[in-house]
Amino acid sequence: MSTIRIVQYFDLLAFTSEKAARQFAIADDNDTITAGGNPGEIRHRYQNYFVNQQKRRGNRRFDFVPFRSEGTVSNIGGDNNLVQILFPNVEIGIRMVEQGNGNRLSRLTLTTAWLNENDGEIKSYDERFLGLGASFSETTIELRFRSAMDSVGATFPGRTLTRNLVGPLPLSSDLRLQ
Amino acid sequence: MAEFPKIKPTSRTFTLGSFPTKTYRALSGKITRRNFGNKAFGHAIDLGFDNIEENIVKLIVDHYNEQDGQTLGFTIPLEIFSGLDLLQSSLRSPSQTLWFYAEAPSIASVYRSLSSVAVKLVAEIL
Repeated sequence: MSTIRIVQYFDLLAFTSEKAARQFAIADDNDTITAGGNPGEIRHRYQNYFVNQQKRRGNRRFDFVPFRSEGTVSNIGGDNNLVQILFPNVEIGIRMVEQGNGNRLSRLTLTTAWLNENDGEIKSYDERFLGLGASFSETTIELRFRSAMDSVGATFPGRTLTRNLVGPLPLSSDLRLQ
Repeated sequence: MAEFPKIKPTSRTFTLGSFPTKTYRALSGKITRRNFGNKAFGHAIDLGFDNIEENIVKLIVDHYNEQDGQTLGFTIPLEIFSGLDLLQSSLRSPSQTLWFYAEAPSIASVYRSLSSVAVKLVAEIL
């Protein structure tokens, strides 16, 4: 039997008004919501494995929030990936959306880390996404993201496509270059 | 957070909590388990209070109503674990949990003012 323990670290850079960002960061006692590098930027850091614990990873601190991620990883057409992060419908989630411009164009770094039986980190990988928006239900808040890279688009530069330039080429015929 | 009434039960059953896990079994039969958290949840206690007087039944009814039914969490008193020594501490307060009514208590009328009450409690992570 194999046992897999995985923790996900959610590191979101959202954009709001300068005043709201300052108030939000000051209101958090645990230092997992901090002001970003520029005015109006706010950073949220959460993890979903260590229940009611704050985890330190490098010099960053992540509070426990029971979120989960769902979505595609990749497809043969090379489209960018759509990922949804589900949060419980609690105050911190509502504020994250309402004071974060509705999760529009926020920047998410989602780190997936494998743990050993002593909860030590074995390996991890980072994925980066851009915020598309959010939706609410009675019990959950869904944040939607897309990966920043897309293989084919109308604004693709007019150059010869080679594997050296773009890596694996899409196998669909839906290439539109202008 | 009102504590459960201090009444010694006539019967009690404890079930330990589970860890949040999903299992994938391949066609070969090998299984892989993914663990989603480091705390157990869903510890359960079934309590029976047989042939108790109305005023004691009312304590349980009032407590259930004070907790808004299954909405608010509470602690349980030592009396529930009467007779247990070593086990008491780990069963009474599982790590970072509170007790909730798993379902509404059921009351069976036995004779005049005597009734039997069955209570099911479950411990959930805060």
